[in-house]
Amino acid sequence: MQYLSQRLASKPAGTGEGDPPAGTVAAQQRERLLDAAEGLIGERGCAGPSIEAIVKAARVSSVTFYEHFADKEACFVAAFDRAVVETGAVLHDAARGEGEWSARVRAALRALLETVAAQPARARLCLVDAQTGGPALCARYETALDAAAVRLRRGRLLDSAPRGLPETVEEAAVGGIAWLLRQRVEAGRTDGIGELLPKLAEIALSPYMEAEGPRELRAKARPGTSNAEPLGARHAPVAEAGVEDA
Amino acid sequence: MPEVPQAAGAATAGETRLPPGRHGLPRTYVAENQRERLLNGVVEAVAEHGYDATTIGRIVDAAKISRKTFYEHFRDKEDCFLAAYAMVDAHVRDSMLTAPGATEPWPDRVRARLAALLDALTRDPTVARFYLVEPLAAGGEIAARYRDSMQLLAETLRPEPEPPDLDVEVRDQALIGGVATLIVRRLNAGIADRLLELLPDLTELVLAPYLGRAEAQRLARAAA
Repeated sequence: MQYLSQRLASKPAGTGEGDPPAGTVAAQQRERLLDAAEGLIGERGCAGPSIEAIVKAARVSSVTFYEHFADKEACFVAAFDRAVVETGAVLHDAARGEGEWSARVRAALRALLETVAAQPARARLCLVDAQTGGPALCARYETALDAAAVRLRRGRLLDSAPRGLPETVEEAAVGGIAWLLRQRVEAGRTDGIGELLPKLAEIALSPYMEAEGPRELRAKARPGTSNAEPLGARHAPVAEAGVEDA
Repeated sequence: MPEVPQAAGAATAGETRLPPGRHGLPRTYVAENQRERLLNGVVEAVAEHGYDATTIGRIVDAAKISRKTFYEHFRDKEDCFLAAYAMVDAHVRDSMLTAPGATEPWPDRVRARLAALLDALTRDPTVARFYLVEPLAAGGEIAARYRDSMQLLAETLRPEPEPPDLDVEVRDQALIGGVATLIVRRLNAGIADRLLELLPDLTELVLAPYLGRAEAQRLARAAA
């Protein structure tokens, strides 16, 4: 125990795990703390906000903070997790209305761009600070990239997909998309970010939409001799990956 | 002051510059002078503490040099970081441009240049992280410098003459984002020694948008 407020927040062993039930005061306090953390990170990055600043913005006590989170990084991780879950649901809904897989991917990307434009602070947390805010946050960020890569792997089942695609194609595509978005978010240029949609769609879909040459020609290309394994996505069978969602 | 290679002067640096391609990243130079020790100090301090928690005290401790001497060389932490960054950046790009095969016509040189990049990063994962990860945390002028040098790195892989493609720059950005992500994730996973395994995949990633998948694969996997 380092601080008095931490000691005051301590609970008997065996309790205090899991999120508080929705609608309770505790749940509202937790949401306010996450909102505050997200907003402050959006202004100043992960290094910016102190716990004092967070509790002040959330209008709760520091004891309350420690009732919810062991430390600042745990709070940032929870804010990141919330953002990913909520954004994932938005993308899922956007994709559901479309038929073709490629149209679903495009719809999900459009929803992603709209989310970034509407919530720049959240975008900054997820795209900029998640990579630099400590090992736990960085691991979460990489898990989110992997989840997106697994969804994209569905493209390998398309008739137009060439054989022998490197295992790292999806990891690179997701990384490229995250990079493009990060440039805009860091520079504070999220207003016209919707214009990136054709480019993002190209990055995501082009590996599977090989236009050149007949398929017989492509089949001659020597199949995978690459040694590199994708990180994270390697255990996901293609057949399961994102069949239902984009 | 002894001369140290700088980004701007890298192409014309004098005798103090080691021949490119055969040695490790700058951190492994025998640091015979204070400025280089300070540059090494900032790499070490940032690796241990992260950019934000790195203080001038930690830099001079790592360099075993007095605080007073620090201020003879650098204005502040950012100044010192940028100087070290410029040195690493110049080294990496020099390596890419002068490696065996790197002066072949495009597209043959792409594989050689990527191999040089991966080789330089494999030699010292701490320096690799300093080059590719820490600038993200630093923000401001450092992040801007980082973006510029990633852009230059993408340009070393571009076709010549450039295709009349409307969106070469966005293509560059997507490409470098993919390349950097694949590399950084392997640094984070502690498998820097396996970066060279990425060579065929990265080559294909770079070439496919311009040449089509089949031709990109053929070149990427030739002479593997």
